[in-house]
Order: sequence, then structure tokens, then C-alpha cells
Amino acid sequence: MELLEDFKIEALELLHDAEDAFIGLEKGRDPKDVYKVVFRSFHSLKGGAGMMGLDEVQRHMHLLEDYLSTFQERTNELSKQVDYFLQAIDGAKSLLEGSSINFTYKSQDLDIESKENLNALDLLKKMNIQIGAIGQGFSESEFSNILKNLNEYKAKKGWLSSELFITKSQDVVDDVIKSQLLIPILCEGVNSKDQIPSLENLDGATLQSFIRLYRLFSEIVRSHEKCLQLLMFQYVDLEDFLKEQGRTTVLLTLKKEIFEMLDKKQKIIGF
Amino acid sequence: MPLNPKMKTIVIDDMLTMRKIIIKMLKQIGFTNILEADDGATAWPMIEEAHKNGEPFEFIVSDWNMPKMTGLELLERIRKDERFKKMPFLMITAEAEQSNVLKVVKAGVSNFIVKPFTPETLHQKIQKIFP
Repeated sequence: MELLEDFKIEALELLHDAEDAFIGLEKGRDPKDVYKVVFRSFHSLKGGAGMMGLDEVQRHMHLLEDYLSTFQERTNELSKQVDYFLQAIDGAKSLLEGSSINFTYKSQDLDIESKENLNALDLLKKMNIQIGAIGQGFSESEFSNILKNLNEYKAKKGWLSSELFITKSQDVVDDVIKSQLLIPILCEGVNSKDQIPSLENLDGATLQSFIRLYRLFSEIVRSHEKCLQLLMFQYVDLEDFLKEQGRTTVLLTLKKEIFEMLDKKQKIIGF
Repeated sequence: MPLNPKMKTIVIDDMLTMRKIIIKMLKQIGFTNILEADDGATAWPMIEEAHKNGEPFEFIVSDWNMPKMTGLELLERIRKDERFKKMPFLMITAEAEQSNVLKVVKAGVSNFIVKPFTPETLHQKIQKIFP
């Protein structure tokens, strides 16, 4: 099929652009620029492969794009992942040729190997979450000392007097409940007042359940996004109809709902 | 404005194969007068020129993610211009942009379609724009 051959040629060009960008990165090319080029390459290829019915390629590019997008706000850290992405690009080429590949995908999930060096605060920083709850058993003043190292975060008292939440935004409301899913596990390893809740203090089984919950939580957020997407599609399809019917209040309500969901998503975005 | 297959249409996508696929689908639906551009930046002068010559485009089908001028930027430029305010505009997107979809809704897109899609879905979307 001629179209498929054309697509393969174009796909290889796009992969080549991405490769070039990564190689350029090592020679001092602006990481923001590199991110832009690579994102476009992966993203176009994902969409294109989907249209061509190349499901394996689409899935591969999708996973790569997801991981790449975690670097959007920290493009200067991309340089650490050049080898990974170059291998991934090679993988994409093999898939285009119809070979199957055995590739281990990276995700923003916790890097267990480096857990020795992580404490809860590092962890929160790493996940770039908006809101976290730490510090059962700490007083507010003790906490402010820790928080000095984390100047973007602010401390806030939780509902239970023994808990303190840290937050990037001023407005800690419902989303704290979600972080409470995870944080109590983290606190299990804390035996004395001097310990900061940390992955290091967890035994293997507890660490496993922490990671399981973290993954589950990510799934929930993904579902939330799906709902949001559907709601928006509905909105577009219904807009004209509702206007014709003079039912603009319904439209406004829909719009309000969408904005509220977007707002919520913003608050939990790091997950 | 009911669907007139002879309407002058422009397909904008930076990937040649995607343009081919979309044009093929449009032809299946019955479209006969289709032009193409490889970027929002190349499409814009074509749209202006067509208007000047008295044969304006009647329908725009554009990808979102393009290197020089994105579909969103093109849409915004078009809607800001009195001449093209009401020009039907179908945006093609891939789902990673979902949180941005509201942006194109606000920018006045006529409808949008998510990759991958079938000719049937494209037809349905077009029928919604031209009932």
C-alpha cells in the first residue's frame, strides 16, 4: 500500500528530527526548543500511526509522549534521559518496520532504585504535587523549620490536630482527602518524633502498597480526565442546539461544570 | 448552511500522509474542491488570497499541532478577522491536548475531531457543522 510506505518515510523523518534534537541537546541546544521539537515529533507520530491503524506504534509513541510531557516544566532535566529516548526512538523505528520490540517504559512513577536518597519532602518535590500531608506528631514550629527548605510550599493545619498539610496553593480543600490516601502509609515507618515520613523507613511490603496506591490514584486521575474530555465533546455538540432552543442556562451550567473540573484537575495535576 | 459538496475546502496538516488520508475521506464523502497547506502559516495567505479573488474558502479542516502556526493560532487569527468570522472550522486533535480543548471551543471552533477517526466519524462531524 503506497500510503503506508509514504507514512513510514514521513515517520522516519519525524523520528530523525527528534534524534537530532536530543543529539543537539548534548551540544548545548536550548532544552526548551528540544522539548518542543521532540514533543511535536512524538505527538504527530502518535496521531498519524493511529490513523494508519499502526496500533503498536501509536501505543509506543503515546507512552513516550506521556513520559516526555512530565519534563515540560523541567526541560533542563531532559539531558539525563537522552539515552533512554534515543533507545525509544530506535524502538519506534523497529515497530515501523514491523518488528516487535521488548522495551521497558519509564513513567513518572517513583524511581525505587533511588529511594535511599528520598525523604517525603523530596518525594513531594519530585512528584511536583500541589498538596501533601506530612508530619504526624510534629508541631507547627518544628514544621516551619523543615518548610524553610521548601519555599514554594506552605504549611497548614489538618483536620486532625496531629497532622499538618503542606501546600503550594493557598486553598487546601477537598484534594487533601486524596493525598490522605497515600500519606498515612508513608507515616507508618515513622517511629519517633525526629523522623520525617519517608520512603526509606518503609519495609518492602509497605513500600509496595504505597506504590500500588500511587498507581491506582494515577488511574483515577486519568479517568477524571476522560470524563472531562467527554463533557467537553458534549458541550461542543450541544452548543448550537441549546442556543437555538433558547436554553442558555443549561449551557452556562455545563460550562461552569467544565471549568470546575478543570480547576480540580489543576490542583491535583502532579498526580 | 447545508452541506454542499462543491464547497471550497482547505485541509491543513504538516504531515503529508495525514493530508492524503483526510482528503481521501473528504472525497469519499463527496467533496470535490479541496486544496491543501502544510502549516497554518502557509494556509493563512491562501485563505486571504482566495477571499481577494472572490472565491473564498467555505470550509477549513486543520490539524492542531503544527510547527510554524498551530491550528489554534490560525483559528484565533481567522475569528478576529471580520472577513472570516463565520468560516466553518473543523479542528483535528490528538487526545493529549484534551485539557486545551476548551481553548479551541472558546476560540470559536465549529467542531473538532480526535485522532484516530474513521470516515464515518468525519462525516458525522461535518454534518453537525452543516446541518
